[in-house]
Amino acid sequence: MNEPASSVPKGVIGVRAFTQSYKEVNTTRLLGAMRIMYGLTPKLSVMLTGSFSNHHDNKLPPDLITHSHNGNQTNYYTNNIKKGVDYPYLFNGIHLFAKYRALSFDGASKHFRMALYGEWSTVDVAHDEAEPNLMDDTGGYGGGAIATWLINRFAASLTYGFIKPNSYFETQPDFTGGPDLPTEIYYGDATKFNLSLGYRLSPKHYTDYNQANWNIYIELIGKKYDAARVIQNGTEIANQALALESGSYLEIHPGIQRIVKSNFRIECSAGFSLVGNSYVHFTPVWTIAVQRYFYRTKKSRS
Amino acid sequence: MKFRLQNWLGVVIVFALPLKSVAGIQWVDVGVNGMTCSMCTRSVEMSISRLDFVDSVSMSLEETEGRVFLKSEAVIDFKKIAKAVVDAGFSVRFIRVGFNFDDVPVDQDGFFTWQNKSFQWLQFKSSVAEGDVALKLVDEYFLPRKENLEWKKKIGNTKAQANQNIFHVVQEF
Repeated sequence: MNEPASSVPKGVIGVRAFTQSYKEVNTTRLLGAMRIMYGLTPKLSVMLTGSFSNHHDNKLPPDLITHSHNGNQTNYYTNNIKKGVDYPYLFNGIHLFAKYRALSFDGASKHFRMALYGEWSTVDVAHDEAEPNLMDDTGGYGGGAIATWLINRFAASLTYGFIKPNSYFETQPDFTGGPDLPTEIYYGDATKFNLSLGYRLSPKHYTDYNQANWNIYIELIGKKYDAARVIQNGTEIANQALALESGSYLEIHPGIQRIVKSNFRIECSAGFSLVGNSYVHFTPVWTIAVQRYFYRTKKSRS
Repeated sequence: MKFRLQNWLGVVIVFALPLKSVAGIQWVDVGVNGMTCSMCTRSVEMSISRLDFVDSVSMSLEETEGRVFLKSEAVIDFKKIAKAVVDAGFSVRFIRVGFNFDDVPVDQDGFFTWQNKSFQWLQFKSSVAEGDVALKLVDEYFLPRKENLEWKKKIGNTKAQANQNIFHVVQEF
């Protein structure tokens, strides 16, 4: 899933489709996404991704905020988020990603490159956890840097970035029977990194485009995020839900990639928790992706 | 089946005749830096193939270089070849041309013209200016920056220093 510092060739359209799934108690959560990539210039690539998933309900849980009585005093606080609840498949929104290759040190069969990226998301779904994810859980924006080193059959790429998520607003039922109350969740800001190491198993030596490429890779994915804040009717609600607290985790995603006819990529990986846990997804996370470039073949004018 | 000499004579004569090459550029080789996979190579090949003067491109995936075959009578644009490599996301390691000097005179300072383009053959020795010669372009865009800067210093001492429209070449083999 890690984007390298290299860019999409100028004028080339790429299409990538991928799914991510995991078992959550007795239900299977699935994200499906379609990405269109385009090389605007030799150094600037843009990517537009639309995604759907069964990660969220149409609205936040009606019991997101509960209360207890202490004498005449009523205390409001967030309830724990139930896991394994069946949700419908919903369109999440659009995610825009732009990447600019700022540095290139190219040599024969090797390169070191650095790129800057920015991302922006229109996602506006009833996400009930602190951790932001711009492609499928939260709107907002982010940015960061990518460094990629390739030499012969080995590749390493490091991405470090931040996420500034939007908040989510809806009205929640009032326990006292009054009109629904305006409720807004401010998700935690996050920093994330992805260290990806890959190796071409086959072929050892290239002879033609029709050789099937087999690559193995490992991605180390880490994220750290702040706690969410829930504001109802202008009042911040005390948080007692683990999923709305700050957190961090580190996962390892080993995977295998096959490239057919030097264009059609098929990738499959499984993600496991190493340190901490994401409250957004369970592990193992299974990712399957296919990608291909569509080259222009019409002769350019002189 | 009987062997009839007269049936084979024509074939023998055709292959025995010396073939005279058309003067000028016979082929262009492009070395590409930054590529490590066959997807990269394909992107470069597709990018160069789109040039209007290019007939076909044959890339050597292992060597990360390719041979560009030109349309007959087409006017070649070296900068467009270099740009096609850059557009694909990579860098030019070299651009080398196979040049046939039959009917193309070279003066004592290594200057010659072809397709209305002016060239200067650096470190020219008049004894080699005939038949097919492999020449490498050493101007900006056609070499890695560091190598180009070294050539710039050398070119600075030549008569062609002020003329930016001259392609500077050196003999490769």
